[in-house]
Amino acid sequence: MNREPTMPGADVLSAYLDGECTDAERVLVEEQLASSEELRDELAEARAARDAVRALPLRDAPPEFWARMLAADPEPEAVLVPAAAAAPVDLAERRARRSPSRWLAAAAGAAAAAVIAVVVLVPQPQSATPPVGAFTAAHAVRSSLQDDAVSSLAPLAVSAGFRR
Amino acid sequence: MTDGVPTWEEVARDKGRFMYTVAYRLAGNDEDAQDLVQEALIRVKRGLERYEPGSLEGWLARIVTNVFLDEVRRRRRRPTDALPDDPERVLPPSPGADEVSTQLSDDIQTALAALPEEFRVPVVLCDVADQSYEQIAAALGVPVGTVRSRLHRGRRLLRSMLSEGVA
Amino acid sequence: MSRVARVVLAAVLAAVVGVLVLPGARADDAESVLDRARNATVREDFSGLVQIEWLADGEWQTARVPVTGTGGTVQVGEGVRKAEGRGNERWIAGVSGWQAGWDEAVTGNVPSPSKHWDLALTKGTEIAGRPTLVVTATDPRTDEARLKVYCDRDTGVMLRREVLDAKGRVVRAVGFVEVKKLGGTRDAAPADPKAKKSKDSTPDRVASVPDGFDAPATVADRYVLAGRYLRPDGIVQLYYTDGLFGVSVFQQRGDLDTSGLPRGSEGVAVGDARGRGYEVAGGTVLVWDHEAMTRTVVSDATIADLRAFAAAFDDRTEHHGGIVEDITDFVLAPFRWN
Repeated sequence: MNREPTMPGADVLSAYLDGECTDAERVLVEEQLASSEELRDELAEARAARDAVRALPLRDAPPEFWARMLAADPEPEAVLVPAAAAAPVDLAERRARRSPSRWLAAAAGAAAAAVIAVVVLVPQPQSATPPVGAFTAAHAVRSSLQDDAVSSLAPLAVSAGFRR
Repeated sequence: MTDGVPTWEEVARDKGRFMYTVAYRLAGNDEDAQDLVQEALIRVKRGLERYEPGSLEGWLARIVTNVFLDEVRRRRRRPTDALPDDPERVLPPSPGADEVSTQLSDDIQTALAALPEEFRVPVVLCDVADQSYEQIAAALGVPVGTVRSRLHRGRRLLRSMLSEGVA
Repeated sequence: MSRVARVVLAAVLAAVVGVLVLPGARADDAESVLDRARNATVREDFSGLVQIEWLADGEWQTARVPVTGTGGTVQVGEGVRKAEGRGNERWIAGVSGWQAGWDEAVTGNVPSPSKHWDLALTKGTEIAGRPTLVVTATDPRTDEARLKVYCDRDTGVMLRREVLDAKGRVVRAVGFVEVKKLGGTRDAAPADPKAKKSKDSTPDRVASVPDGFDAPATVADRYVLAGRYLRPDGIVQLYYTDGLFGVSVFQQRGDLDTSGLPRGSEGVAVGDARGRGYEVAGGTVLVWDHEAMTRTVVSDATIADLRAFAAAFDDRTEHHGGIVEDITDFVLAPFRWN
């Protein structure tokens, strides 16, 4: 194990990596990085560890876990409807916009139906996960129509470089 | 969802994977992670009444972390399971050659699990739960400067473990 | 004319052209070089190898792509990953075969690059063994060069495009590293890729975006809206350009759910929002949310430029006093489209 003590003031390197340092600190760090190989090594180490953890995939619970969780809640959650409730939303459309979940279908069908039957849903923004790979490709296509086609299309022929 | 406040069912469905991932990276194994998430979901259900719409993931990550830390403290009180709270503590002894995993993801997970909690929690909150330093500081009840230094030391420790093939 | 005389004449002409192109040549010469380069790869046949280089997290990444142009059809890649363009059509090949990527006409009215950029035309370094002219675009606000475009002297084909950051350092480039053929005799275009070209699989141009979505005519007083589209998945797609840099904007209803995003992003603040940024082969990507709308921008400009674009886009689309902004947009729009 590397027993050398962390250089004093090196904590800012992680903040620098995460975009969590002030502009003044960033300037100082970059200056010091330019002249100190030790600091550069330490930055590389911190970055390597950070990237390694960030590359870890999402972890799924065993399939029966969520079935158990929902089954443990026999009484469906009744959503409180505010006095000035908006018009009910098209539930089928709302359901269709959500990504399906396998365990929901398997275990929670009855509970979900009960919830929907009981409440009037107020239209609310759902959450969105942008398909960044598809967007990058779409940008390549569109910009190739406006500017030089070769430089715009070339990235479509390589792996986009997004990691899960 | 009403006024930006999700239902318990919505949390479980939309954020379940996120919660389980954070719990797994904190706890290091599936059994403990499942216990963590189960307890966290109870707290989520109770807390939804008071939930102020904002960063849902931040709120959930904080709950999972609190459950985790409560469990760590509870285990420490049992003398047989006490873990020395020494930041300089060396990691587990190197496994034999046949035990070394070739899967990179396993290595990192093992290294993460071997980190003392003091460092593992900020690393998981930052690099798994994507929380900002301020959010981590609020979750742990420490100043941002402490988050910075623990995060940096945690990363350095991880790196040494990975380069030495201890994991 | 004898061969020797032809060679001598060619050399004399080249020398004359070389003399005419001096440092500090007028911007409109630079602009005509850029203009010519825009569709030179459709006018000329070519074949070679292109390299994409970009800085990701402080480290250089590269990727090489074989490219050809035949009778106006541009083809990139080989094997499983390929893309092709002919006219207004684009095709992308993946594991499951060819798919249509585009089939809409595009407005030709692009803002003039010299409106916001100082352009200079000079003799450039050789790229893939070919002598070039280089257009350097400088931001008059900072006096820093931000883009360099190297064009083949002979055919006008763009051989290299370099993006520079605010400190004048190259952070991204696409360019030829090998040229096997450039210009000369033209061959017939190859056959169409066999793919189901249904309207449903490509974005549709729309006259206005659906309620709740934003499409300001200009952003940051420099980027101009050049296209509005509705994708088959319901996502609104916009294309902005300032004449040199193109920015695609994608809008989806809902707050940003970062748990589904690929790893490797950096936290990037956009106003009060905590967005995420990526540097990949296809450009720089910035994702954030504002007023319950998740936005993604893609460009080959730097993350700092995208951040400024994003903040300006949010400013432009603040939902207060909307009517005044709509009128302003209408008046300021420099060109119309259907």
